Amino acid sequence: MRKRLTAVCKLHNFLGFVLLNEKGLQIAALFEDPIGKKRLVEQSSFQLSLEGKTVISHPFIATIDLPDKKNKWLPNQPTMFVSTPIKNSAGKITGVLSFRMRPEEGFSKIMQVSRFGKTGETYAFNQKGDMLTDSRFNKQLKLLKLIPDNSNSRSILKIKIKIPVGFNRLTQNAIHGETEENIEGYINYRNISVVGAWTWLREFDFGIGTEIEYQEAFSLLRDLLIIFFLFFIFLILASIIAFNYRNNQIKIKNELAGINLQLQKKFQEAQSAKEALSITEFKAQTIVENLTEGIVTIDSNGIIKSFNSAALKMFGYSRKEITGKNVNILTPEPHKSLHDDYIKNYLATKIPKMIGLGRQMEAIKKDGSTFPIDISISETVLNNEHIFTGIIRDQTQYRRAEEAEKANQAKSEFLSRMSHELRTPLNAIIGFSEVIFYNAKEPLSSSQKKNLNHILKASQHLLELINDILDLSRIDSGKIRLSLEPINMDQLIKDLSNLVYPMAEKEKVQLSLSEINSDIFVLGDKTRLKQSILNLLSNAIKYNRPSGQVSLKVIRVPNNRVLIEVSDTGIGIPNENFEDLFKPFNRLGADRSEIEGTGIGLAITKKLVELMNGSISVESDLGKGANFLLIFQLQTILFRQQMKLILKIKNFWILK
Amino acid sequence: MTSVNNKSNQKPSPYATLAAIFAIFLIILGLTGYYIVKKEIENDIKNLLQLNLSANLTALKSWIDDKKQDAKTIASEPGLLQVIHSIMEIPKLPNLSKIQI
Repeated sequence: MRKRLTAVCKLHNFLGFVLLNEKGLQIAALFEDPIGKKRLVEQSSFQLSLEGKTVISHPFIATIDLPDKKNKWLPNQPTMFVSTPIKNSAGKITGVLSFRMRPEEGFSKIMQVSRFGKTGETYAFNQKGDMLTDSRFNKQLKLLKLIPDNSNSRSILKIKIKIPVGFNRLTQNAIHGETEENIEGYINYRNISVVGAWTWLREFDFGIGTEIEYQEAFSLLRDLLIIFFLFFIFLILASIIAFNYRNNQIKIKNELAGINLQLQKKFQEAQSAKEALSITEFKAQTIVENLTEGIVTIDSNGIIKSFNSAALKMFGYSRKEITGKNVNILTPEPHKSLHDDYIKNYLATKIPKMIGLGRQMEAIKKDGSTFPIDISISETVLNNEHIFTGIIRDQTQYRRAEEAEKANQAKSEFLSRMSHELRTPLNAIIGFSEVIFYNAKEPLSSSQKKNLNHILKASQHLLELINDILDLSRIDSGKIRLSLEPINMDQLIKDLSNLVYPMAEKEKVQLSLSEINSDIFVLGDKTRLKQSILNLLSNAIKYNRPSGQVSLKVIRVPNNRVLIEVSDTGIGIPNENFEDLFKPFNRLGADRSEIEGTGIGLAITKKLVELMNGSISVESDLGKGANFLLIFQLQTILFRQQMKLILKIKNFWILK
Repeated sequence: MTSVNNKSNQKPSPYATLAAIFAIFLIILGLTGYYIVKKEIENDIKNLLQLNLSANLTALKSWIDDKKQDAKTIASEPGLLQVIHSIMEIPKLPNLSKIQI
């Protein structure tokens, strides 16, 4: 039997066989140990086989030593049987033939067929919770010391599985073909959180379960969670970055706006400054252009850079003609040839010859004529460039005036000297003529008296003329001295009346001196004012018609002024002669008449009145007479009181 | 003080409000999505476990049936049956030792 079945067992991957009789006695086997024993019949599956069913037993621990794959005989090895009844020819069950299997091979391996993932496993278990198949994690179980740590150690029947649903419930549910599962996670036999499903197989009386580690089962969810979390973090970071970016943008925008505002302000300031500069430049240019002095600027090579209007007028060039030319064309020789050297020497030595100094020299116009100028030159350094500015004054008029003044002074001096020289012998002539005329011891004949009287009149006229010339020359030369004081006009006119009434009577002219307010005072030199008014009255009497009238009025006029009016009823003065009226030695044709006069009285009067801060004018109605008007400033009471006080103090100190 | 008051009086930027609403929306969307995905994954796992269990059961039954069939086939061989029957008769003999069997 062994011969026959050994090959068959190998063929069907059975470890061995055992033949039991109807009483459960093991009467034949591949190995010797089971024979004659009844142990196997204790397994329920053998009983079922004796009842006529072919069944497969649960794995159980063998009571005999069994060979492993390497044919090493080991005790306590898990084993399992598939048993089938043996019937005789009458169909009666006479025994059971059981084939031994290694549970770790077929049974366990079939459980591994459809396990999934890295941690998924499927196992079978009995009602006690013993694991009937080999665990996928034997190595781990050995490390956890849940099974012995040796090479043949297996988890079959050595591990109690843990399921969250009770085994009873599982078996109950199995009636209805239901399975149980747990996907919330639970701790399994390896103390690992897993999810699993179980079902109980009633026909085999064991259950099978499948598990996978929670972490692996939900790895997708975890990955999604991580992705979502990372995405959320990314969004938060992106939001923060965007927020910061926006804030920075706003900040930059605000800063830019601030900078823009500042720039605008600066621009406006610059614009204002530019406008102010333009205005200043315009003003300066206008001033320069309107100066009576010529302004010329040249560079260090002597090239003319600018030429103002006065200079253009002075030299007779147009701006286009002169700008860019060498300045030496404006000067005659020897300056013309030496001018460039002046500048070079100055720049080399800094010793000025003309620069910074005023100088008078000759200049040459466009037409070649020369004229005197007064020039002052200054130096300016702009952007390392030397600019020389010349201020030129045309001295032509000044020279002429100077020469005229000199000539006038010479004339006055000549007249003064001559008058003085003439007056001395003239006084002798008059004096001795009067001595002869009035000598009682040697009386003259009537014809002699008549002739001597002519000499006396002519001499006195000549003396009067000389005195007038002397006065005029003194006034012209500025040598006359006036003693200004408040003059009571009432008193002054009374003094004058003594002099002019006889003259009027002599000329048969009616003289009328008006009543004068005693409060009228003017500031002047009493003698010279009297001389001026007397001159006017004298002229009015002399140049009047027979039985004519002369009047004198002194009246206050608005603006605190005093008008002294001398009117006559003479022939009058043509308007065109008014300008010449006050020129010396101009008698406007009267020199051809018999009326005596020097022709310088009005000239002296005008100069004296002006020296006393007054004015003189004339108005005339030809053929009806003329009015001479003197206007002086009225002196107030307060002023007069002050003057009196000053005079008292002065007198006090003089007396002292 | 003026600047502080100005800051406190400032209305929140519409962008900030939008960002906050968007963030809340994202959180709600994320949590809802997470819940839905979790439920889906749980269903998938449940199905997978059931499927795996069913596949194992089918394979197991098939294997068991194979083994049973193997045992039946072997046991039904006439030659072997004859030998078995002859062996079965031996225990009926009295005082048969293990070695004899």
